[in-house]
Amino acid sequence: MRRAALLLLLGGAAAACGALGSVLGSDAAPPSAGVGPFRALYSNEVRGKAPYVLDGNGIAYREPSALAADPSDPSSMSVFLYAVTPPPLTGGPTTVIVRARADDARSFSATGDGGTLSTVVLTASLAWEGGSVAGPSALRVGSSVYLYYAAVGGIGLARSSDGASFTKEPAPILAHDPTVRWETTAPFAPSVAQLPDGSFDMMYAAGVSIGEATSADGVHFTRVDADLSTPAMDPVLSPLGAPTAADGGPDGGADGAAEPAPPFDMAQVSDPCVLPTTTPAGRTVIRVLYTGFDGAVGSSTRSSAIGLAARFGASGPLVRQPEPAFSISKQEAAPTLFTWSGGALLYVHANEGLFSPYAAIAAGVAPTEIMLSTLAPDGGSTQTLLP
Amino acid sequence: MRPFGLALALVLLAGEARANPVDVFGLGSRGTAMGGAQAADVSDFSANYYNPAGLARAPGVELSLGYMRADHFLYVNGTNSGVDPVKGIVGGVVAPGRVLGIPFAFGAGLFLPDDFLSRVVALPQDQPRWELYDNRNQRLYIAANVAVSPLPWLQLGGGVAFMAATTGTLGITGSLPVLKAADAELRHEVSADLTAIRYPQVGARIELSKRVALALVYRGQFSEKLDIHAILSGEILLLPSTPALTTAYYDIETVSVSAFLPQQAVLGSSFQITDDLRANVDFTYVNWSAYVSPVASLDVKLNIPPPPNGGWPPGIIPPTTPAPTAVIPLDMHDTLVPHLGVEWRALGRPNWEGFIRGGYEYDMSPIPAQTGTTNYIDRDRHAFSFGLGLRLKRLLRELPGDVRLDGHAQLSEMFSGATLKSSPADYVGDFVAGGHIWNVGGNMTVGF
Repeated sequence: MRRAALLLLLGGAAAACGALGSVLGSDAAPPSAGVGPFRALYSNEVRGKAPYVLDGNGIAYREPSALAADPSDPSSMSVFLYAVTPPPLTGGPTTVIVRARADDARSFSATGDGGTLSTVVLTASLAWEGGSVAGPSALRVGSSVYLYYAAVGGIGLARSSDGASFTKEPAPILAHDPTVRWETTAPFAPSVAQLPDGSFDMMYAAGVSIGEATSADGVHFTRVDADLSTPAMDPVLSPLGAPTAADGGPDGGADGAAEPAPPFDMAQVSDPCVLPTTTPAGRTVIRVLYTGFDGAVGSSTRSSAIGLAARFGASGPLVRQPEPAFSISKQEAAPTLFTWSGGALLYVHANEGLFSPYAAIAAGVAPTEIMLSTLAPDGGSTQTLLP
Repeated sequence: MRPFGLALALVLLAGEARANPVDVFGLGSRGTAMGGAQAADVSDFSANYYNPAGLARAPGVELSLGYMRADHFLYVNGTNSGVDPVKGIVGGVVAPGRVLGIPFAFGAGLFLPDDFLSRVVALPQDQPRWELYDNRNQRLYIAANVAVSPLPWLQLGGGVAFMAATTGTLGITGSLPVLKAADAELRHEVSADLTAIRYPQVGARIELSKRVALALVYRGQFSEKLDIHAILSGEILLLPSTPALTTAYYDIETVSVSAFLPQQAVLGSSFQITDDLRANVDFTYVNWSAYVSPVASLDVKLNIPPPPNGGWPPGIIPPTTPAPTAVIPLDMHDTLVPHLGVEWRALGRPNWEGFIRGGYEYDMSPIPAQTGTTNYIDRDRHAFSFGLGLRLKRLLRELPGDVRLDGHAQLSEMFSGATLKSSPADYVGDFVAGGHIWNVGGNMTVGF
């Protein structure tokens, strides 16, 4: 009997010696809605300084809009990125829209001369534009590319068959409407998506809020009232405002408890990126990534983060996610999303440069557990010089 | 008294045993093949799990050894979740005898995984995971029991199973250049300690007649506490070549329960319907409502004094102390698990017998619908099992007892279902989850 027990113990010990194998789990990424939270790209995932993927080395690149270069291949990471920058060579206060391409979704700029190879695709040429174009939102519609953009007089549309040579609509497709009281500025920062029924849904910023307009053809848009219970036209998303002690906000230490952090978007919401989807359970969800600001324009302490708001169904106000989707404390703003079969890449503009900050395009990835392929720090960009 | 002394030695040797996978996959092929309905009908090494009282029914000294493997095919939104297989050696020993004229036995049983001796995982509470399958079953299980039969119709048994608490310290020291983080020089020190925790199990078996028996079993509750203390102390530099701006101290202590086994009570019955046909029915009450959320509580102390000369350079914003984790309770509910098993002696010859077995077990998920922030994925489990057995009598002159060969195959089907989130802005969103688990194995028992 002793021998039997000893055999049992020895057998166990032998197996235990070989039991120092792999660590937790598999490489499978956990399920995710694909809209955050995002982590900033690591230094080995970009060619230059992380998390930047398009860096003008002092020349600002802002307000990106991503467009899949090969939408027929879900695994393709080839991306066109439209962005706003000063006119090449001349610079100055005006801005143009350029396009860059990366076949790995990250190498938009070559080391050392980042961004200078991007192609100008849209400049201001109409009186209502006021000399600048900005806020691009690129959308593939059939074999065409629709490029919605912002200018002084509102939101315009240019269309192209190749994504590079655009023909503009002569007038803004959504101009300032003084009867809409929450729109204290002309609409800007458009984002347009096509819904499964073929209609077009636009989210845009105005004042400190985000509104919505819809269209059957992508050209003629009608504003949508997010709250039909009130007589006034309402935005779909507004800033929360500073919380008070009554609703759980800071009370100056009166209750002795740690003060909660104020909402990241309590002062302004802007730069919507609309992303309709159907969940695996079959529900339609309109998701919107946006920029949230915690201070007024011009405030020295104003900071920003990228938020997520969404709703079930085609209409109504958006519900916000309390936790930011992306926050790197670099004045990040103007989100746009590229999804492929392996995950989702978020592009924003964010401050680069320590002492003289300028905007460059940074990127984050979701789910946060996935790792992108390692890129060499230099030795050739995959950026394509477009005609 | 020899058996008692050896049992005590096994108890003391089993220092690093842990929570057990046998609740899900059973212990030994006969038990698994019969749907785990064993409490009133067990007499081999698997009595160390199913009912310690059954040890007293062993016909002689027996040594068992085998192997089992359970592969998970669990999917979320059509993607395989990659849950690791549970596989390893199963075995045990039963040694009956008499003490003061009373039938007495001791036994020991084990499941020894061949990939992990131990594994602890602490995940954010919103991260989707198959809570009952991802990590809990990657455990070493050892149980040691004794049993007596004070009356011919009554057997009583009890013993202990083992687990370990984990404490650890992670120390990181060095320098961190703000502008070239890749050039950081950090040194790591890890210290961990495993401390044994025991939990009780007791059982009784009552033979109502030659053909009918009842059983009661109780298994105690345990929780495995993971306590990690991390200390980071480092100099903050602008560049590797520049002098230190300041020294940062970051002190984190997390405490979590990485494995929790609820207390259980089993009411079992066994019916010898004919000489060749047996049917068993067990019901297991599982006190899941006592389940402790596996999310770690976090206590953070962060001290980064500003540089003494002129404060922080422009553009550098030191991090602030993160807010404490608000742990969302996981409100599981108790379950009653039915087990059904049948065994048919299909072939009976003077020197050998052949058995065919079948079983079913229904594990209703104790986890509520995950409509909010947390994503503890689970589905009801229907386990269908099948098994074959071969008993060889007097195989060798040197082996006075039987030699038994048992095998099993078990399919656990977890029907796919949708989880609908209450918020459209949920980072995980609606998901559809389901799948199945294949569990196969076999073991040999040699009687002496």
